[in-house]
Amino acid sequence: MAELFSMAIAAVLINNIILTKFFGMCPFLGVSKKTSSAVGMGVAVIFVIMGASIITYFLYHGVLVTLGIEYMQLITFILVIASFVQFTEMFIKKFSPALYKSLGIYLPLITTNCAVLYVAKDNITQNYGFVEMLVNSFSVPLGFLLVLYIFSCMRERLDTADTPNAWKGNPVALVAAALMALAFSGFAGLV
Amino acid sequence: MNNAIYAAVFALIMGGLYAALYYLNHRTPVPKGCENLKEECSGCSISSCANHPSQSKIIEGE
Amino acid sequence: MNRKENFIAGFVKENPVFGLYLGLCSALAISTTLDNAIGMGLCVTLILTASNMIISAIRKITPDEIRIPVYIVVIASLVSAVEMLMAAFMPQLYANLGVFISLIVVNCIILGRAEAFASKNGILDSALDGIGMGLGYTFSLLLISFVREFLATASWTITNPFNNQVILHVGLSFLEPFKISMFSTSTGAFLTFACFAALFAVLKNKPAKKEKKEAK
Repeated sequence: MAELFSMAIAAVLINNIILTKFFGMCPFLGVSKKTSSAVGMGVAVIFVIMGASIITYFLYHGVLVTLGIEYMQLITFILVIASFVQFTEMFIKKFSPALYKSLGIYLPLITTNCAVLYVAKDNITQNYGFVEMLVNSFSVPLGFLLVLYIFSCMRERLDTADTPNAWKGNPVALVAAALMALAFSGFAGLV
Repeated sequence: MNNAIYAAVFALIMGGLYAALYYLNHRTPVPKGCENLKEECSGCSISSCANHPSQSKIIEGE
Repeated sequence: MNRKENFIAGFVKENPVFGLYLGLCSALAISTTLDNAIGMGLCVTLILTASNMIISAIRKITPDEIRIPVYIVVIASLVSAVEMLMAAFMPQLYANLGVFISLIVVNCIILGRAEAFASKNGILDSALDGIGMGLGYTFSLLLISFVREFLATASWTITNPFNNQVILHVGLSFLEPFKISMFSTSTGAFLTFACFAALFAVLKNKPAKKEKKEAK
């Protein structure tokens, strides 16, 4: 239990997926202008990573390994993620318009989010058991949500700041991200 | 050799599944009140993405 | 637009990394050393050119409703093939780049060019576009890694990926005590990238200003 907990802490704070591994940079810069959209995107990412990881985990160990075609990993995973996103979008369009209103727009953006593919692959390469896989695929996107939320708060303030023309928009936001990465590196000795 | 056949069949199944889901999803109508939901995402410059800011400008311009 | 202009646009005006903010995940993570930057850049160029050519070749028989799934399958197969070739022939580079090779699948540059260019143009034009964009990406990776490797280690090293022999090593040993190891971490990546992004923003706006002045 303690091991799982420290694994989760490490995934959220120490090896944060955005700040140390740079996965999911596109939404990190793209949808971080408002806190509300940052939270929506973060929650959608948690959901998709959880779902896609569970499916790919069983598909890999159940089908690919039994048939001896592990080299199909990449094609299978990207297709599972893409199909899962399409299915989820269709499902909530039909049955839960309210949910679609708050999360629907973020779903298509997630297919090309490298964080999803990374977590699916990581679960396999690290040889995680089922419970470890669940913890990993929940805590990694949780770190994503946390950093995206903090970053969007910073950007709302940055918008009103007086920055030189060349640094307006993304460049100054990237400097803020650098400082945040520096701050997060202080968590390194935590576990 | 069997392996290659399995792999090809498996890839076809997965690809077909994705194509079918993609097609079905895009035929499912968007629920009421959500027609004009757009997130102005400028994360990448794929301007054909429905969420790219340039899309809404095109619609407004017409 | 003629072919030459189109080809050159990928370097400054439409530079995929600094100008359009595409493919950032790999650009930031890989650019610690020149070796990695060259390997990754050429890998992306190869896959981008091949995928552009294939997608352009099948553009007339691809059903419009399911074109994105078709593109994803084509790109994923290409990346798998390149990944396996690299594991076999350049094991050291493959180990250094690690998971980033397979993540080329979701690199926005490739899907973006397939959608925006290859699906509308002929095979030759698409191939040229792929090479131009790919070299633009390589060029940006080289810029970032050039700065980062020097600040972090006070030297530049280029090795042959096939047999791991050092081809070129430039070291300024008197600067050795002043090296800043922070630049090999993520903080350095963000900082270097921010500086280049600001620089390219200035470069991009310059011609526009000139035109305005002339118009006045």
